[in-house]
Amino acid sequence: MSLVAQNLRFAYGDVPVVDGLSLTLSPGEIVGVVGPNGAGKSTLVRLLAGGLEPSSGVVTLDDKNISSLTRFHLARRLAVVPQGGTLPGGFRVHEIVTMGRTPHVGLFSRETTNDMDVVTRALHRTDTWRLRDRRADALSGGEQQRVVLARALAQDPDYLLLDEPTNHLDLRYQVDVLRFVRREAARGVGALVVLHDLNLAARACHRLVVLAKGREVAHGTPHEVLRAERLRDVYHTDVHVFAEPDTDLPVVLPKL
Amino acid sequence: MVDDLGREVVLTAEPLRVVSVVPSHTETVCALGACDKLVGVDDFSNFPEQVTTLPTLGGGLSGTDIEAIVGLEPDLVLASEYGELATTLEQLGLTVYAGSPQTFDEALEEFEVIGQLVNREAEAEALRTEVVADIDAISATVAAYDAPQVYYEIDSTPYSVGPNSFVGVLIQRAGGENIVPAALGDFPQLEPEFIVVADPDVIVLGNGPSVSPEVVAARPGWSAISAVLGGEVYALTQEQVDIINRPGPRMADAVRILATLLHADSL
Amino acid sequence: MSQVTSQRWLLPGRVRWTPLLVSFVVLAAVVLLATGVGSVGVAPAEVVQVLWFGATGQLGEAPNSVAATIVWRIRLPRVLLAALVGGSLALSGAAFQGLFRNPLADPYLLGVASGAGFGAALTLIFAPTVPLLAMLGVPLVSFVFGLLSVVVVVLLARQGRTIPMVSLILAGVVLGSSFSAATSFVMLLDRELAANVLAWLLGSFGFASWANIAAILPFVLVAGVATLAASRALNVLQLGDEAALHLGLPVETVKFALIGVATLATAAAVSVSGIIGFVGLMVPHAVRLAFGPDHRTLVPLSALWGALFMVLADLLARTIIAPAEIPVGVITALVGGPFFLYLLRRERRGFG
Repeated sequence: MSLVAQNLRFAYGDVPVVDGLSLTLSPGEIVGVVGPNGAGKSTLVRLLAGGLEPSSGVVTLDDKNISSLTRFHLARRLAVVPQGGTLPGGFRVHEIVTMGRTPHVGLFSRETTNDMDVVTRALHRTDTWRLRDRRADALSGGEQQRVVLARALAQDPDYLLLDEPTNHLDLRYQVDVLRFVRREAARGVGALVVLHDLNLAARACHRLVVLAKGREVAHGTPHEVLRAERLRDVYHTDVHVFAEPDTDLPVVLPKL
Repeated sequence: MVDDLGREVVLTAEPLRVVSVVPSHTETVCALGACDKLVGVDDFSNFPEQVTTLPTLGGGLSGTDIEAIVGLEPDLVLASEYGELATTLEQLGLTVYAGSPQTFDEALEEFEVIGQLVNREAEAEALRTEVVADIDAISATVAAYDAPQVYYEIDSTPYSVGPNSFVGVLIQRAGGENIVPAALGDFPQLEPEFIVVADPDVIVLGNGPSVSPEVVAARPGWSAISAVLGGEVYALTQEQVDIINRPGPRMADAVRILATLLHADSL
Repeated sequence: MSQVTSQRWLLPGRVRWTPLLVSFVVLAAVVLLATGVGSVGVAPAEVVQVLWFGATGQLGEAPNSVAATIVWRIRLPRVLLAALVGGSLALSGAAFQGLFRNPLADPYLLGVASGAGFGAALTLIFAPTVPLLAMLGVPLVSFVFGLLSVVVVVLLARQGRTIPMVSLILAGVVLGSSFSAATSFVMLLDRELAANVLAWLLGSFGFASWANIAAILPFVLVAGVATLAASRALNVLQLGDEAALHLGLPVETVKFALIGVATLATAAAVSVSGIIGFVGLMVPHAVRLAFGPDHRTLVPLSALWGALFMVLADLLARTIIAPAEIPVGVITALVGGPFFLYLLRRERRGFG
């Protein structure tokens, strides 16, 4: 029972973007993917979600190659929170979230009461129930991100892939999103989160993967991975790494 | 003399090299016996036969060939008042008459205008008298018969002609009654249903070869029109269209063509 | 997706039948009314009577045979064709605006109109000299050229199995300009026949016949059913291609299919009526402003309102200066423009 990538490669033309990556995401676990811009993080998410075909290597979901699954089947198991973007104009929050039921309902039938129960729970669990009748495009960035999380939950997935879900959010909403991921993981969902903020990543994730130029540079617990020397090599930037007194988790501070 | 652009046209001597870029002017010049003065005409001037050997100066796709006109060194250019041609040629130092008759009466007067320009005033008066007499004679003949209701189609949009337009007056002189009310102006686009309701006795198609009586009969609801039922839908040949559309010396022929069609049973 | 929300939970959405039913009834009433108005006034009751005689194939039995001929052979086909054309233009407009996620998209975006216009110009100008063109006729040739231009645009814009929307729009604009230039060139070849081309380009239902209706009905029906069936997919597509893909939507298939059926319907409509602007752009926009972006309401309502708008526009075109006629395309632009501006102003104040 897991989402497994084996030796994935993907290239735009001759330029390899993902170059021989392997990865396992198990239920209940949070894996953070970090690395500099252009390391291939978003491409990895797309490959894992079946949005891109790898040039070589396979992605399996419970030992089945995802390219053998129908799109709807895959979307019932695995939800993606894509990077950025605003929500379309005119739709209400509950309408956007209900669209998350598409892989369960199909394109030609209507939602059942059961579907709406799932949507209702998704709204409550993302604290968007009170926004349900508001126009989604009129909400703040942080609120919109919650609506997108709710839509992902409405898919009732076993795996969640989040591509930089804290981008452009203030501290409160960043923490909000990661708490949400923690809660869902505690309920048995396997989550893969692409993050830029190494300190948040260290606190939210069980394991971290460091990518650079499409390859895995390091892989392990935050402790094992976030080392000053390694980060300097990967980011070409000098950093201090401290231990946080209470938790002993690493704190990364760049030197200016 | 003042032309249709309000410009004074001054000729110091009888013009010997004349260019005409309006087919009806070409016909008039020749009808006045001055055909040998013409040194060039537009692409559409195709009558009389004599002018078809002259250099053609455009007027179709490529526009009028100004350089060719200047190259012919004319001492008079007969143009219409439309477009930039007249002013351009004048700026190039040519003597230009810019005008064209729009109505039946103006067409008769135009003979004298052209006559003055090419110094054939006596011939012009004679031509006018002859044309008027000719048309009056036809009108007198057809006056004996009932005037049929006539629908004249310029094109299949359908555009028609009002009773005060040039062709409208020709129809009236040929003993026909136009179904188009004068209030609609000279070139109205008609609602097809109105034509069906007006139920013309004769339909004349001035579209050239593009619309045939069969096409007209196949239009929705038109099979019940009297003209269609009575087989009185006539498609004019291109030559006939030229004669009818040109306010020139063949006006009487135009009336004769129409009279023959409108009173096919009687004449 | 108008879920009924209660205090504590959501209930499944219901189709909004009320606006659909009301619009349908209004459309039917306006069709009856428009069929009664013209050179010969026919009372609604008599219209219904003629419809009955006509539909049962005993037109000869009708008490007033002139009125019967006019209503059944001329006016009803004209009104119904206007409804069909207006409906399919607005329906295709709704599909295109949804596909391109752009409220300024219209069914002519990919060059259908300019292609069809070129086909019509070619036929009108060359029919006297080329018997084949005369035999095929304007509707068929313009239909083929309309389809052809979109096929070329799609082929030009295609990259592998996907079509980037920006390339598609660019290719559409470029090919559209080329076809328009070619149309102008062909028109210059014969200035007298060019008037017919111009009249066709402005659009008219003057010579509408039952044969026209029979010719385009299949395309309109297929496009209608397909677009309605895709209305949920269109909703999901509004989330963006990537989000839609991750919700399991076969994005490229949906796009290809919708561009295909919308193009068929538009080309069919244009082939019998000429190029009538503004309907495909304005009607879906108006419906969206009034009833929101849910395509399950937007698509069918656009079709109904498009039909309604076109019947009224054609009614104006043939009655304002009767018995003379104004090209219907002039009316749609003249009436449509200010109405559109009014809607935009209302939108700026924010719709509820």
